[in-house]
Amino acid sequence: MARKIPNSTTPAVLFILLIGASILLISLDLTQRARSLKTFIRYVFAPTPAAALQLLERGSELGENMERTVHMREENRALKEQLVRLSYLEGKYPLVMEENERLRQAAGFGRSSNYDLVPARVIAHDTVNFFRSFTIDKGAGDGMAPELPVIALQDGREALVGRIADAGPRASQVLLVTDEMSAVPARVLHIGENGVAQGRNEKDLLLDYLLSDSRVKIGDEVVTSGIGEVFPAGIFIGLVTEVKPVGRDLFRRAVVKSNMNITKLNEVYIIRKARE
Amino acid sequence: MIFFLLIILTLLLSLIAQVFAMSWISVAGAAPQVLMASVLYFSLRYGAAFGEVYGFFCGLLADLFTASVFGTNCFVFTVCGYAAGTYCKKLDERRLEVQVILVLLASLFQAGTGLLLGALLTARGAAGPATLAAGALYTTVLSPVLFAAYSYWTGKVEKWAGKVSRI
Repeated sequence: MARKIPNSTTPAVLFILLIGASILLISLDLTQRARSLKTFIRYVFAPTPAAALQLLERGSELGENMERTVHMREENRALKEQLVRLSYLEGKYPLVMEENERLRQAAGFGRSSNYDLVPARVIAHDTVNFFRSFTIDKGAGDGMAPELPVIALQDGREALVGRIADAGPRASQVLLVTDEMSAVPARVLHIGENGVAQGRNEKDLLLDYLLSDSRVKIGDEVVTSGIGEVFPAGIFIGLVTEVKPVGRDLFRRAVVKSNMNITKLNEVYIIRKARE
Repeated sequence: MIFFLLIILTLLLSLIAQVFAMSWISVAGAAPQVLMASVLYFSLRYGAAFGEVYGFFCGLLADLFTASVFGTNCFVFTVCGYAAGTYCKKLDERRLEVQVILVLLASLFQAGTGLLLGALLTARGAAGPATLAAGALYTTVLSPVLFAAYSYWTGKVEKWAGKVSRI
């Protein structure tokens, strides 16, 4: 239905006025003068089709750009993760190589040893004195028990470290031979004299209870004697570095020094039993 | 008020379509006269007063976007609006022959006026006679489509204007 348009002026009068205005516009020759206005109007409206065309062009590229952006972001994230991982591995590489070397030696050592060995990792040291005790990652659940001997690989051979003092469910505390509470039946290898290697809470041991006329001398090798059945016989303890004079004592004493560096000890072996 | 705002919006959309979009479907330099079709349609639908005012402003805007003598389109569209508006209620704008004949006459008048004024007032004229004739023919051929589009759009405009006025 057509809409009623309010019309207070007759169409003919309006027509005359509008035609007059049109003729006036033509006669004024505004073509040149209206050029700046035309330019402005074109400037205002020009973005419309240009924007439409741009939108159409961009629209076709939009999906591709978005896909490329997503791929770039994913690739960037993956590369960042890889960079972090490689940086971590680079930092850890020397440690891994060192551990690998130790484990290779240990593997060979474990196979050639006469004992049934259980490898363990040192997870904590005594906070006050490194020569007293440390903790290993094997406990009663792994067959650990008090008094089991603990050895380590030193220069390709077994060297005495200590014994298990306390076995927890998952970890055990090892009493080192250097602890003053430790006393290990020992023997000076080349003369066959027995004594007791006592800890002093320091790096050196004191080999006590040697005969007063003992022929022990500096450089003699001291090993476990096997007396007492806690430590198997023949495990290296250290070398004699000093022989003390007898004096009024009944027994001769000697200082035994182990070359083992307790602070750098990472892997040890617990002797469960001697192999048949 | 809303109705007139929507009519102004229609005018602007027709202008944008005429100036920027019709070049995409032009044939041999001739483009359909969307503005002319709108003037004729609204004149037939709403009468001479509405048609001539709408035609005048349509022409004014068209003059700003064409290289013809300034005021030519004002004159042509005002005349067409008034002439078509006098047949409001007498001719049915939905009839195909009415659309075609009216558009053809208006387009020829526009072409003739453009040629005449161009020859009188400028050295080069607005466009070649062949192009103007082709444009008139093109608009005539497309007139049913253009009238249908304006009819549909006007129906929507009246509906929206009615809703807004009720609110």
